[in-house]
Amino acid sequence: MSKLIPISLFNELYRKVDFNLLTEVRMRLEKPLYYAEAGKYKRIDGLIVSKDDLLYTLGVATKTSLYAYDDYLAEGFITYDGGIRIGITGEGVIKNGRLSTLKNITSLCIRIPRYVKIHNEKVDCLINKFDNTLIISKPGYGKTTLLRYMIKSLSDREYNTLVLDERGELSGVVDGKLSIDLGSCTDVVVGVPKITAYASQVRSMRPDVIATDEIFGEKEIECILDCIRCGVKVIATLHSDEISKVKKSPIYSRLLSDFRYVVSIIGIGNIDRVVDLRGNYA
Amino acid sequence: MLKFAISGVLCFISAYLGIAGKNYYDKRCKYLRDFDDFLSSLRDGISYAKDKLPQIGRKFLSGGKGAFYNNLEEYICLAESCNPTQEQVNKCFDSKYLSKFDKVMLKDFFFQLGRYDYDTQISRLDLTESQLKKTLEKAEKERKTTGNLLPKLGLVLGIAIMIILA
Repeated sequence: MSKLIPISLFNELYRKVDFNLLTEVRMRLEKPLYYAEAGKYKRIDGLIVSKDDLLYTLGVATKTSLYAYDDYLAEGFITYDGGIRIGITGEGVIKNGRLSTLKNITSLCIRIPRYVKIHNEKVDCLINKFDNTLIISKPGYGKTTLLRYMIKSLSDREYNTLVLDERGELSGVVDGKLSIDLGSCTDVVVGVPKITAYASQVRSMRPDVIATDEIFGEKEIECILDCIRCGVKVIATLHSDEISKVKKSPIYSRLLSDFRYVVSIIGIGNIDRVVDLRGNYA
Repeated sequence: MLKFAISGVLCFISAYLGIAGKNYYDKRCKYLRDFDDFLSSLRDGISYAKDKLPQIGRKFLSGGKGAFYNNLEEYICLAESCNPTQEQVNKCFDSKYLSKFDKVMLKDFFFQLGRYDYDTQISRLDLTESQLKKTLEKAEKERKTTGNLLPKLGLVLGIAIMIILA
């Protein structure tokens, strides 16, 4: 983290922030620096982010190898050491009818992943009676954190857990090294489009559990339902603030027929409720 | 006797300067050839696995020694730890074996390296390779003519000084 932010900004940040609680830093061109400490946003007045600051961070994050990140830039993010995910906005460059990369970067959102041990009876119960689980919440409320905790807990119970980590955010894999411990029975697929990975990895890795972050679109739902039909359990996260909205969605409501538990969360380690779709509230 | 000793020393100095001159041309050629090898390995690394610059650099560095390798190592260390500025890159490739034109080519290339998308990076690589090809041909020619001439010239000059002083 100290390498990623220009020294002038980092020094000021270091004075004000408890780095153990830092979850996000937002750099916007010619705007003050914002950071989130334990989920709460604060800003540092008088500390304006310049174009050079953005380019510096981008250069460090790409290890001075922007050419290796074209596809990631087109997706709007890059992953840095330790699973730090950097969201990027800028001007799109269209080539052959598709977004090929971004130029004139205007904002960076640096998100720092944390492995948090969650002490919660509902979560313990979910792991003990493990079945297909869907975790829902708004962005930034701790879906990925809970997912990581569940992956490690299941892996430690010797479930062969396959993590489909398209963006490298769950496992923090950078240059082939896992920077977040996801347990000893976990296999991680990084950088492979999830749609491809579902079919190929279920056949080749024989997982007991598949874990995936941020389900998006009809094709992925088809793949997930196929995996469940094959007898593989799935834990997945979905952006949604309440279960009723999932039920109303013509696309995502299909998940509810095959998932057993829906966990809605309202903060890191803070479970709102666990719904057992087979009839009981946990 | 003193005259003889002085003329001997001057002859030695003259011959030494001639050899040093040849050495400069040899080292310049080696430097540019190593740079050319690096460009080939860079092209492989970028095109095949889209490897990152520090990885490509470290792999290349493990295969040789010399002035270019030392300069490249300095640059790779910078690329690993921060986003190098033009000044830092200039410092890395300020080799005494290079001409002013060579230095500009290297400094520009390494400062721009890794700051473009894939297609632009490859086209810049093509441009630098074609520039380097011409420079290398010229450097080899200079090595063969001027570089080989200098030690002989130094020796002849030294002997001439000896004869004059004697």
